[in-house]
Amino acid sequence: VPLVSGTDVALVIVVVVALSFDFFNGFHDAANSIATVVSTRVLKPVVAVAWAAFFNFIAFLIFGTKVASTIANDVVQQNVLSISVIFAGLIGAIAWDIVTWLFGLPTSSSHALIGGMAGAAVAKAGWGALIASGLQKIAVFIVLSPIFGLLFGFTIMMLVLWSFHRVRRVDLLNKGFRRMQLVSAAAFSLGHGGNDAQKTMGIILALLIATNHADANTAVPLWVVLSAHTAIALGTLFGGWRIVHTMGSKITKLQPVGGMSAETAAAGALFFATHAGVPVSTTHTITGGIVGVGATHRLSAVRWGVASRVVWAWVLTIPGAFLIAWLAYLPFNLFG
Amino acid sequence: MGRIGRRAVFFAVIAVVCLLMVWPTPPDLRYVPYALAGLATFWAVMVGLDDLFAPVRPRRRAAERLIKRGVISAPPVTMEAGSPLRPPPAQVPRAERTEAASTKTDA
Repeated sequence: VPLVSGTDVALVIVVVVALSFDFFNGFHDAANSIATVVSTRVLKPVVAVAWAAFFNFIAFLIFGTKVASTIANDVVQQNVLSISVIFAGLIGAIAWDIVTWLFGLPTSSSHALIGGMAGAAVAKAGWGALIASGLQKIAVFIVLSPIFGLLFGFTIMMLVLWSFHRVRRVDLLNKGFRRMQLVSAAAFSLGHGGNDAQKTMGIILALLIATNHADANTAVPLWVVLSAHTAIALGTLFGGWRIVHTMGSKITKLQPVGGMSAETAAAGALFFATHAGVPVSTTHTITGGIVGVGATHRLSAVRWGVASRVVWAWVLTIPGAFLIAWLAYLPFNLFG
Repeated sequence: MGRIGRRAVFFAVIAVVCLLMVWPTPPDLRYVPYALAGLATFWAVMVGLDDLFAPVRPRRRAAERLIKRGVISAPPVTMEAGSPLRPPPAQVPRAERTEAASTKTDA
């Protein structure tokens, strides 16, 4: 009897691919969590990246694993999940992430993953493989999460403006907000680690369930939690600077107070979504926050051309990753 | 009284979008679009009131706006001496005054 079966080898390979996706997620998405800190020159890029990576990693100490359960159980029917489906789904998501990274577009790795999983599952078993209620919940929050960020970003910024409009020492005020931005950036990175790392945990959990290494109702094993957080933190450390530029300066110009407000709003949205077990995009929430802050000045302060490019990228993410994953699964169909 | 600006309309549209999202949201999370719609409505009303009651600046004539932007140039003020419509010296364009001064020196 061989010590390690072919399935186990395949399982290990797909786990490595899943962790690579997590690394890319950190590389691609986590850059957003430091965009405002870097663009307002509160931290140097290298320090900002290390700061974000640290809070990405320690997120596992704070949040549960509800998002992981949603990914593992509420997207694709359990009986359709297999190593090949998850592998093709991951290929779709990673390929989409790389394409959008090359174009400097801040899309959502999370939605690429969901689109990829759905595409591979449909290629295997048709549209009946999808769980409508789970996908509906995710789709609703694709719309609501940026609105959440926008409205809370606007509200926080207005509260700050009302509270401090009589202060004459603008330099001191700015200094204070620069310090507070460190806290808000940390909170946002925490939220990012909590929500995004759990998506990879969900994928690995689905793999373990599909290969009968875990029960459907089982808790996420600690090694999965730690490896997912390590991968996303390392991805953040290597950073995606193209997107930092788009998020931090192209949508609207930010001052430290604006950066702090946008990040706090986005962190709030992420904390809420993670608590509710909804996988949302960090990119969507921070973009909403930045637009909300820009809107306190006037709507024309927001560069709607760039913002609409971002929205198009969102709209195309799920179909794009779906199509790539569907194509990636075809060889498995052909060769059984 | 001013008129309601684009920001108020923007927040009103967001409120409508949130309300439209109530139906597809799972029942246990429906309070989220309701709360967001409430917040958007609040800001739409506040920003709208701010627009309405903000001190109104007199609207510039279209031609003045175009002159300020440099799209067209101001017509030269040419009036004959002794005309009752001659503007006071401060309103005579600088270029014209310089020209007049140089004419005097030549004479």
